[in-house]
Amino acid sequence: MKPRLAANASSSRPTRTIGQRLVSWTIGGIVGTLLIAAVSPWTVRSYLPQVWDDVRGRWVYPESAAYRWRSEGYATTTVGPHGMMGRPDWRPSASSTRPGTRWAFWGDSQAEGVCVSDDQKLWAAIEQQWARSHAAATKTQDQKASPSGQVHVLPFAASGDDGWDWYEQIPRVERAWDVQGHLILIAELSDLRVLAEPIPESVSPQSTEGGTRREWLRWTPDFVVHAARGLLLDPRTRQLRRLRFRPGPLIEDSPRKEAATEKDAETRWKLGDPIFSIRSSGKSNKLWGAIAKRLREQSDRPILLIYAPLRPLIVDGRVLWKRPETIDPVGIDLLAEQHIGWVDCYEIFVKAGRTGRFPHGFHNGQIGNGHLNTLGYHLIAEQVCKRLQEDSRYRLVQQADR
Amino acid sequence: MNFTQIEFLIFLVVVVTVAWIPRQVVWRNRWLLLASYYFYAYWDIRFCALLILSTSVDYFAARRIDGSDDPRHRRLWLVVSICTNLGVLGLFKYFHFFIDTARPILEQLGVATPGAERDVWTIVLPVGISFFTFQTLSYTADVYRRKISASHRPLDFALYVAFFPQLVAGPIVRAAHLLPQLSEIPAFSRRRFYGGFQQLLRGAVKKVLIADRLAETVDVVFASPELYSTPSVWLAVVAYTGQIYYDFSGYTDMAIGVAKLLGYRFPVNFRHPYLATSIQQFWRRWHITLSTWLRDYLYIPLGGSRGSRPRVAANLMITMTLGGLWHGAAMTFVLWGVWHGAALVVQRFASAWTFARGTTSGGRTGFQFPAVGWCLTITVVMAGWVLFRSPSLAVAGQVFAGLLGYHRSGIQWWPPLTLLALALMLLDHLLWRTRLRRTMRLPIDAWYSPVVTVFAIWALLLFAPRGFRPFVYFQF
Repeated sequence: MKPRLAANASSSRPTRTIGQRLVSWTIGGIVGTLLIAAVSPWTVRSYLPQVWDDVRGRWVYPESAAYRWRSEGYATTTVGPHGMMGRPDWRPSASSTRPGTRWAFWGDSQAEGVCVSDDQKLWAAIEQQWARSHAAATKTQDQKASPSGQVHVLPFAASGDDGWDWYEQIPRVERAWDVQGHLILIAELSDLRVLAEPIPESVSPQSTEGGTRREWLRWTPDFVVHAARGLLLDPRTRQLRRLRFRPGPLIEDSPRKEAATEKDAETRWKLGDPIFSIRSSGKSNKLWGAIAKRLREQSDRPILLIYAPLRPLIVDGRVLWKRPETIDPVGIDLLAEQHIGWVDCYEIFVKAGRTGRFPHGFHNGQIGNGHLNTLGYHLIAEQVCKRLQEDSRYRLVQQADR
Repeated sequence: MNFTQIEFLIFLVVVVTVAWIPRQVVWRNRWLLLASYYFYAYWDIRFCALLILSTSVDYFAARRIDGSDDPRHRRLWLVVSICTNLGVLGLFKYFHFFIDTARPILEQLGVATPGAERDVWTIVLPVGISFFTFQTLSYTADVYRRKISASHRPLDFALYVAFFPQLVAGPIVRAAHLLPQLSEIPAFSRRRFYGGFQQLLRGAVKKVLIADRLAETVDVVFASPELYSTPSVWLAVVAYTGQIYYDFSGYTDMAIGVAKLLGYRFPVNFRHPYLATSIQQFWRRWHITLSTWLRDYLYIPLGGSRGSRPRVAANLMITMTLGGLWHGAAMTFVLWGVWHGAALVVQRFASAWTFARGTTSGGRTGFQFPAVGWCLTITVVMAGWVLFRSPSLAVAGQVFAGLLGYHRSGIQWWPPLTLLALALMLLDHLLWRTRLRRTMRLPIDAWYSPVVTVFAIWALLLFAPRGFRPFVYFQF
């Protein structure tokens, strides 16, 4: 009975006038919005304007900005000079004065690592792994296996980048930072494959010195941008949402891209698509040769390609274990001829997956699907450091530096 | 059209605005009927033919029943109505299920069945067919029992069947409740309009912020439960317990809210069923309009609680099994119904036994110790949800194996937003038991109402999972 009594008591109160209600709702609306503004940084990612960077010849996030990522993983990245994600301590001018070997690190969002905190990003994991290996080798006095000095990995990976972005930036970064080599993380071979195609016109964009892209983001609260994007953009296509008012029938959604991946690879293999085919052929040689040549056009320094495929992957209740793309051994040989190394993380990823530890995905996304997580970075770092130690060409770089 | 789509919001604003303009009920009802058919055609314009068929048959059958004193004639028209409605339901919803179930027998008899060539036999399930079929069936049955008179206004009746807020997922509104409301223009009440808006918002919050968040975990784990560790499987089952409630009660809140915006009242469909301390209580709080429908049109005609114990048990089992089958054409739904039927039978006889021994105070729906009753009830309900959610019995078996601790080395997955949604669910249930229950309705002049309302609208815009997720009960 108590709630009913309360209701009666409430209804006997004098009701407010329209004016009073208007005032109370306006104030209440403002307070509600302020509350959202206060709590949204915990849950809403940031939207930053980008500034033109003449050194790299691309748009980057402004230095010292904090870039929050919340939907998959939970981290805030401090943007370093020239858009280096999570590395605020490294300027080109200071580059030559620091002891150690400098590697430029390239890749797409899988390498950028905004899902994890700065000290867990892949570039940091490689440095830490190297330091551990160095310390262990020094302790055991194993001079042969001892990696020399320090390693500094400069993160230039950015979400959405592919072969052409790296192609364009590699010589610029070499000039500015005097890097001794390049590490390139590839999650999908298509990012590399573009290098075998004719150079697109957009590879050398016009300099827009001092320009800022999406300046309005500077004064628009992140939660407003996020809400507007949710309202205006189609979540699947990221294009402007198109409302449908015509009667049905509705057209079925196309199957999810990930679900098709395994089948796609198989189909492409049957079609003899060289990058997905294990068969050696003239076509395959041409493709890998072209990729190697393109990379060598831009740099004569050591390059290590790190292949971190999206496997194992949990999609629609199935674990996809098979390689999404088959690597042609002839292609690896062709790369090697051009002194381009190849590290394949597939086996180590699958081995981890078999024990229930997946290198992709996060608790606030889906374990086993999504971007590389801390474990994935750790596994890659181990493979990379092992390769850098074992391969004489990379050891030479370390020794020359010493 | 989904209640959480932007298109629906635009549609609703137009419909509500125009609906309050006419001074004559006929124009208002024409407008609402047009809007309701458009709402249904939004899925598939072909489905409207079914709606017209069901409406026409039941309108004329009820007229014939009402206009006759000959019991045979009345019964004949009742049978026509039942056969048409159940025939449509059987064809569109259960055809493949019955064929698949009967295939082994039919094949032994040498009867060819559609199997491999199933594509030729593809039948699309019209949205909400179970709801409007039950609604029209109850109308004819009530006219037959002389509980109500047959409607003489085809427009009102057509609107009663097709009224868009409750067309696709209930609540199942009886003709005696809605038809009188449709016969006149409702008086506009600002308080009711505001209440409708708040209920619409509350439903959206339940659906989008709680149910859809929980679904993100549930869908993944139920797709391959063998991959996940025992704690993660438990989390998914608890999450589904929350998802199904907040999804469906969210939809119901939105439907009731939309009806209020138009000036109509719908019956209550949920009363925090997870607070029930017995399975009988649970069914008095869960999907109330369906459980009362099953009681009035199935359980009682079968004999109800009268008769011997085996007879009552059989009545309960038949009612609940058919209730399970109503939800979907799959063995998992049938077993879910059987499970609840068995639980009701056990409870009924256990209560009778303890009452006879004088160990209860005479309350036939609750346990002597509410906490024990609650634990038993929620366990039965959650086990039932495993059957309900699993796409097959094999998957259900894997989920049960996970719950029982056979998945020790699986993936440990603790999605924080799922845990947050479960915490909100717990808070909601705890508050509902206190005096703050009224506060949760956000009275128009309460100081906190605008703050909470604006916060909730922002939260819907910000924290809604990306992507379209239809209501669970749309499939039924």
